Amino acid sequence: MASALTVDGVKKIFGRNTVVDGVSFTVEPQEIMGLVGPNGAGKTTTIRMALDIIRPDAGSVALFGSAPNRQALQRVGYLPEERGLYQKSALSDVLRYLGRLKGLSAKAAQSRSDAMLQRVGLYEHRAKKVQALSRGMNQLAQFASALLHQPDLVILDEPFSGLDPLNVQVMKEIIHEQQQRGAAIIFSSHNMEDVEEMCERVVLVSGGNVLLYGALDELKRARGIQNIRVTAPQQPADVPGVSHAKVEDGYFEYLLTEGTDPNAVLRSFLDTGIPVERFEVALPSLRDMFIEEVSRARGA
Amino acid sequence: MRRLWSETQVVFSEEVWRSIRRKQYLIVTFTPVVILLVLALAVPLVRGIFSGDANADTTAGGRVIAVVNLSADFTFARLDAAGIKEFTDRETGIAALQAGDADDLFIIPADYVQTGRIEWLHTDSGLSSLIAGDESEDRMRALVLQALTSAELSAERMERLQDPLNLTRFEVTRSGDVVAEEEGQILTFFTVPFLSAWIMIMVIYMVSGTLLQSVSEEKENRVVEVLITSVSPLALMTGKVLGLGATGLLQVGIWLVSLAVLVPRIVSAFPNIGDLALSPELAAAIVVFFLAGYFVFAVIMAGLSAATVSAREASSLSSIILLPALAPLILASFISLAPNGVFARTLTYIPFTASPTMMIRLGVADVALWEIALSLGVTIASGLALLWLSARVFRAGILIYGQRMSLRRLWVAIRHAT
Repeated sequence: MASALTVDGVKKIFGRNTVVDGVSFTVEPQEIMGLVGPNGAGKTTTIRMALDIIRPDAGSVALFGSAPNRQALQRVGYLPEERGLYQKSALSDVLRYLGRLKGLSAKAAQSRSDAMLQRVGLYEHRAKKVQALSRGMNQLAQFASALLHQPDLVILDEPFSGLDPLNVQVMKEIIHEQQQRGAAIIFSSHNMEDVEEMCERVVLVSGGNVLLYGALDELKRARGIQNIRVTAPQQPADVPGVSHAKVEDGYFEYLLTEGTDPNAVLRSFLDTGIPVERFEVALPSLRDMFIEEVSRARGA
Repeated sequence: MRRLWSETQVVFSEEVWRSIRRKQYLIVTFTPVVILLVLALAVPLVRGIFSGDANADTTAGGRVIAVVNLSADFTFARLDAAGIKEFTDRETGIAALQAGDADDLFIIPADYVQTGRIEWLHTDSGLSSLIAGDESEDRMRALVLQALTSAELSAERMERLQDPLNLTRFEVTRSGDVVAEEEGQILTFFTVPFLSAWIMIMVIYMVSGTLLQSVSEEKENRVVEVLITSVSPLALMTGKVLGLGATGLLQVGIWLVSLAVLVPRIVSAFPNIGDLALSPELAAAIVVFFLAGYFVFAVIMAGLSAATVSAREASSLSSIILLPALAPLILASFISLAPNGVFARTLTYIPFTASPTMMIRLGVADVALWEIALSLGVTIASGLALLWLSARVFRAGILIYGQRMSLRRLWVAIRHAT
């Protein structure tokens, strides 16, 4: 089966500014791929190239095995970061229209719209004008509109921003339902905890370049044990091999420099007579990897 | 191509559906209908109260009336007292008209009592004769009724009293020629081409406004990014142009039906105006140029709305772009004076002025078929070229949020959009 999306060495230059510089990744059916990166990393431009909104200056994009065309694009559901709906129209009318634009018949668009509104809990509000809905409701409605036509590739750009935890939970459930249905999902977010929870694979982009790409677990293991958490009443004046220390309520968290033995940290506590209640070694979080990689890239 | 058409249809039907449900649209559409309805009820009533009858004051009004009475069994009394001049023969009367000694000359033929026929000569042309003639006719009617009742009432005279004026109008030109006015000429000459051109401009203005608002709204609320991943920019723009154009035409259609139903009732109170006489060829030409003119401006407006930051900016720019369409109407009197002159012909071949100019020319002169075809060809070809260009601007411009679109930026964006 062809990949849902293949981005191969795409490059985009606006004026003198290289916004995307040789980005490559693939998204397979039934997987959730995290697309992460700092602001201005080139994520949205990459997504726009994937959707044929703009064309790359170099490299290529393949949707379902072929160059993006209108037929392939009909199989894509897209929730852009900068989003909105027709404010003066009834919610149900807007969804029906967007469904029809995706090739559904009027009848199918109506029934799918009703079903999706019920799924996201907005069915009771279907006759209201969009402008009468809260921001969160608007966002859920747009999320629903992206899934109306049961797309094979769903691209979600910051889907949870501004949502309350309850609605985030609803959205997460629906995303997993889409995955189980067989859809490939690109999940772009600044919230690394969400990405870590939702995605099997990630691609980290910064300054238009790919910094990390692969299965999240493998990326973490490849990085080795770097995080140490020590529960103790106080910490020694000098902890060896630590690049970053964080003091939390009741424990200390250390990010070790490459090659540091975690036991050296434990010894530094014991040698200074500080009693250690608990000592944990952990794989690095995506957030840690993000900060480290982006900082390194910017420093370079 | 089939997909493009199907996408265009979806956008078209949505735009029509959304537009015709707007309060603003309903108000603008039905207010003129209500006004016409009120006029249709009120005008004949008011006209009946103020129209001339047997007791009307024959000396009223500032126009000088003259009569030539060639009937032996019918005489006017006290014409001097009524301020009406009398001439003994037709030639003297016409000479007086030409000299400006009289404004209207009524010639009563020998068989007047039998036929009721009276010739009405004047030197006015166009609208001025239409407006002024009403008052002269009232005065003449009163005078004739007075004369008919001043003698013994025979059966023939009784019958004539029922229908005293069977007027035939003639215009005396500067060279002294007496030209019969065709029935309905005045209304057709003055109204139809100008009205059509004005309606076209009005529709362009209205639809452009809606189009600008529609695209700007989609840009401002960012829904456009989803739209262009669902339909091609060409289908999106074409659907909008056609859909909003259809709502504009529906509006005009409602107005025209109201005019057709209600205006005859209003006009019947002004018998001098005559009936509306519009040849099918002229009507067809007006419709075709109307649509071609709309098409040119609508595609420009779609491109413009995508290339600007906000509806307000687009609106102010659109006023400048629409000026050429207004020019032929502002210069209508020059075009009417020399409808086949160089100036009028030149405007006919410029896409932005072609439609209104041709409408005016067709109303007042015979225009060669090849000129009509060439003008239409230029307009449609320009419209298609502009559609192609606007689609590219549309695709490029709709993704530029909150940034002013300079020509350089536009050029770069168009290149990146391909």
